[in-house]
Amino acid sequence: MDYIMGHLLTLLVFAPALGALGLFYFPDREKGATKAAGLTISLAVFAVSLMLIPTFKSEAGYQFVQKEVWIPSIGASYHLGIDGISLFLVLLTTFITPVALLGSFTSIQVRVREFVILVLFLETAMLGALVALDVLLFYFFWEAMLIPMYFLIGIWGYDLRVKAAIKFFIYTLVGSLLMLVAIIWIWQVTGAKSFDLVEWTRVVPGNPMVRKYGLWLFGAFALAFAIKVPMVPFHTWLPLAHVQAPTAGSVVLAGVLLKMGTYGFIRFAMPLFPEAALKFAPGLAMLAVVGVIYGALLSMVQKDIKSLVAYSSISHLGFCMLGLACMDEKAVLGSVYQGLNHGVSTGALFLLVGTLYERRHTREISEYGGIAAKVPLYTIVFLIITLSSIGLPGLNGFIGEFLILMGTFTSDAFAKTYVGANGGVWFATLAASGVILAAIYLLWMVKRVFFGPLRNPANQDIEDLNVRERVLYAPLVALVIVMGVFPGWFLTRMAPSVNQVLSQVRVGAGLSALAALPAPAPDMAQVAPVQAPARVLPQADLDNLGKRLMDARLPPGMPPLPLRPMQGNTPPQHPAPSRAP
Amino acid sequence: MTSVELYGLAPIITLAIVGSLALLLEVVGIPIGARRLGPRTHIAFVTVLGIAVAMAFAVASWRDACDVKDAAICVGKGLTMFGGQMMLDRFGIMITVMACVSALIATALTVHYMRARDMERGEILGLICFSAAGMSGLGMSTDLLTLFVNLEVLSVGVYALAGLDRDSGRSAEAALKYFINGAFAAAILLMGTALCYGATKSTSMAALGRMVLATGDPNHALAMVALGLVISGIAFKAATIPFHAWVPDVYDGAPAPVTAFMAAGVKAAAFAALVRQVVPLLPATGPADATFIQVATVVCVGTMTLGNLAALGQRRIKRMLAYSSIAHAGYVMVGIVTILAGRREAVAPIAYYLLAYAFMSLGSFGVVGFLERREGRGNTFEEWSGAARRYPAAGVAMAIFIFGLAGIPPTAGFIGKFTLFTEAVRAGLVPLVIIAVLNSLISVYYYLRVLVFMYMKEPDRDLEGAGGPWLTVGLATAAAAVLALGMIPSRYLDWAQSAMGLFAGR
Repeated sequence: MDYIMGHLLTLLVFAPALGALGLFYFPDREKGATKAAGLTISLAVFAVSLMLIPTFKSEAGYQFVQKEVWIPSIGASYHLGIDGISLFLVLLTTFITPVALLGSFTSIQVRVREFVILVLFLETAMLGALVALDVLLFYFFWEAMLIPMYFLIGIWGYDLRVKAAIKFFIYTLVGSLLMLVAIIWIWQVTGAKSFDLVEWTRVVPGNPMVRKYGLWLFGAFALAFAIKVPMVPFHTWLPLAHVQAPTAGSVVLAGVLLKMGTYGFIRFAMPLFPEAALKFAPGLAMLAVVGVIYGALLSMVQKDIKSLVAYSSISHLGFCMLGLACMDEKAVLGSVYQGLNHGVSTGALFLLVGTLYERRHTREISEYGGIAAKVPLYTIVFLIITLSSIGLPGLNGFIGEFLILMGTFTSDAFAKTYVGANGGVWFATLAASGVILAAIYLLWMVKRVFFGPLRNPANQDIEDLNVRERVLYAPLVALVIVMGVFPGWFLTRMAPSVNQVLSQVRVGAGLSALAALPAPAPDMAQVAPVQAPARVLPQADLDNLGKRLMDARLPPGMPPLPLRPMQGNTPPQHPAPSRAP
Repeated sequence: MTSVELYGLAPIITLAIVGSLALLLEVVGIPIGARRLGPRTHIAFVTVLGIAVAMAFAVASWRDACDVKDAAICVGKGLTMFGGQMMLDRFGIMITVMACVSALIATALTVHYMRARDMERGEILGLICFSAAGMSGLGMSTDLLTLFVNLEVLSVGVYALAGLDRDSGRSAEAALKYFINGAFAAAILLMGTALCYGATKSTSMAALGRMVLATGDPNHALAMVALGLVISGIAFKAATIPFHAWVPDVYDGAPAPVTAFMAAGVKAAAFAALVRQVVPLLPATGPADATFIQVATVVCVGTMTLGNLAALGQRRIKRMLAYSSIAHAGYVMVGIVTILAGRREAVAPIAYYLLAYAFMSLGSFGVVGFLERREGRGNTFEEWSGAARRYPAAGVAMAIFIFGLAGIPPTAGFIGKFTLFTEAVRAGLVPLVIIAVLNSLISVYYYLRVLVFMYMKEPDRDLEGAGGPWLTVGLATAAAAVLALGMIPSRYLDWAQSAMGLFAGR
């Protein structure tokens, strides 16, 4: 058992690929059995990933660490580990994969075996990128992700699939290759003789050469990640890829692949080049806000439901990037959380669009109208997911967006730059309009699709969700509600890691390490730089965060929701400091 | 001939004997019982076995081919043979192994290709063995005369192989073009050798290098001319600009298994010779003369850019792969520039890259051979439509080779480019690396087109593969090697470090 726990991440990463290799020997005719086998494998992987939770401790630092020699001659190691940031992305990946497979049971009818194999290989690559603690190993998986996704879009996609697949591949590769050059360059100048991220985080930010060329290096990393996110000037691959991809491809793309971009920022780009990150922060925030509004405006004018959801991703990821650019603990925490929310909600929306497409073979909004009466169950699920995507209190999206906006208001990351001390207020105000726009474009779409008179006779015989689809949507809806009502459970596990990363970034960038602390904080940071113990958000705050947030929004007169504070995950040291007066 | 020489030449001698045996068996006729397997299968078995023995001889001398014993990674110098005309060192052994690997897989690719065309003949396998012997010798040559002899042994075999398809005009055209260009290059090389003798009273590469470095010597200018001629002669075989023009026609016209052999083995051997001639140009420490770096950089950038840009416009997959092989010569040139810039460790990634490229080109041309039909039909992009649907295994193999050529992990192509570029960055050649990286970005477009047609189009009606167990084993070996070298490269990278022995004792 100890052996298994010591190698749990390796098992997790390579189990899907091993399963996929086994599927090579499945006869191509047995479509049902192939799908069932693929689903079983991915569910087993999900079960294995759940084993991470009980052992995971809510504290900073990497856990489940495994380190082996990989390429000694250049110092690359096979170093795996997770912290609170990657834990939930790993769980999201293992959760989304079976969902995506189950969601394509009926829509994928040709070359089924290849499809399942590619989805499983994709899962291996994604998990590998998330748990890699070696920069080269991360890059290895990061690029390997492109291969299965390229085939998924190109083979099973819609009319423009080939164009979409090539555009996706080359666009993503442009950024990655420049990042590779930056990685090699850093490896060379620091003389670290290793690609170990833990060592890099210690050595790289203070290196004089890295500081000198920090803007270029951060730029190379940021370009790779910004394309993946995607941030606004680099987003043009996304609508094409999202719309042309088969449902499973869109789900995985929205659910996990885009999160790789934000994950890259918080794990690599920001901790390694904190000064450059601070210089870039207003620019990033500006692009993020532009993304929030521009994505929302584009969504509003889409005639196709899937394009609408695709453009809404740009808007939502804009929120995540805004949170990261603030370098504020609440905002970054919210950003990580919003990443998960977006994965669940938008993934579910793509599945729902796919379900509708299977019935009517069109995604034009104008083809529908008034179908709520025909498909009540589908309508309910669609509405819940839509509301979560809008950010309705009580559902997951609200928590993330609220934390991001709150953190943006008080952020001091923009104080040192031309935006001025009030930059955060402007960004938050503008971004908040994105929430309103989201309500407009999503609810307007819901109105046009589900309500009103049923005019199109083709919609007369449209069927409601069948058993498989109910099984498919039940966990998604449950998750949307659980993440909205019990955010504390998630946030307590994320917060220490977020705080640790953030204090590294803030110290390196010359901001005070502990933003929310009273005056003495900067001195503390100078006395004990990077190694300063990560400040943990007050435990009580986190436990009841969701509750307090919800209470604040509940209509007067309603009883507060019965929530218990979480027990048993109190961080050992650091008594919760008092709030600033 | 002393025992050391016998020891060092054992792989070459074995290859020559096996080649002769293949010719002999062709004359003797088909033994009873072998007919069932196919008329020439027994010759193929003998050839494969013989090449494997030759490879075993080469590997067996690994330990002794280094004068520093018991080091984890030996970077000592090797054993001299024939009074310094050849050298049994680890770099040479690696090239011998590459030659043997190329010959083995080329043999496997040949069997069904020839059978489908009714042109199975034993001399094909014999010629492959003779050429492989020439490649091995080329990898060990440290003297311009041995270099020339081995280059001719190698070339004559490949000239004949290129013209194998006697009924095909394209094959004959390829052979003739290759022969005329090759003869021209040989003449240039020989001219350089003669001038070298005039300048240094010796034909050794080391002596030429010493004279090139001795700027005050009256014979210096002559030595520079000699060096230019020698390098040009080698660059012809390595297919760098401006000596690349023959490549597309010859690669396209020759039968695909022969093209595979040329791209893998001949290129590796030619680069081995180039490395051997570049090494003496370096002073004891520090970079070589700036002129050399500039010339090599121009050749490097020109080769990869021209190869990639020309490959973009190709309609025929085989021709596209031919241009891509020019581009890959450019990537290897990054390593040569790095060595000249003073970063001697770059020989290790060159050795790695040559092996990785050998497997990838053998594999990709092998798949071309599988789908190719008479008179150059069956290898345009359109004709490959849906190939992966009709032949899933060939599709998977081709995808592995293509991603390898494009340098995407988890393949050997990625680690190869990565290690090469790493050394180049350490030598301070960041702009060159950025150009190389942008080049490999261009290449992704045309590589992906192959997969677009294979995987994302409806099958072509006349698609017809000529396969069999030999081809399957050959392609599977190459694919497995591309993946294994990409995922667990450490062992081979360590071995490749031994190539540093080239610089020992200078």
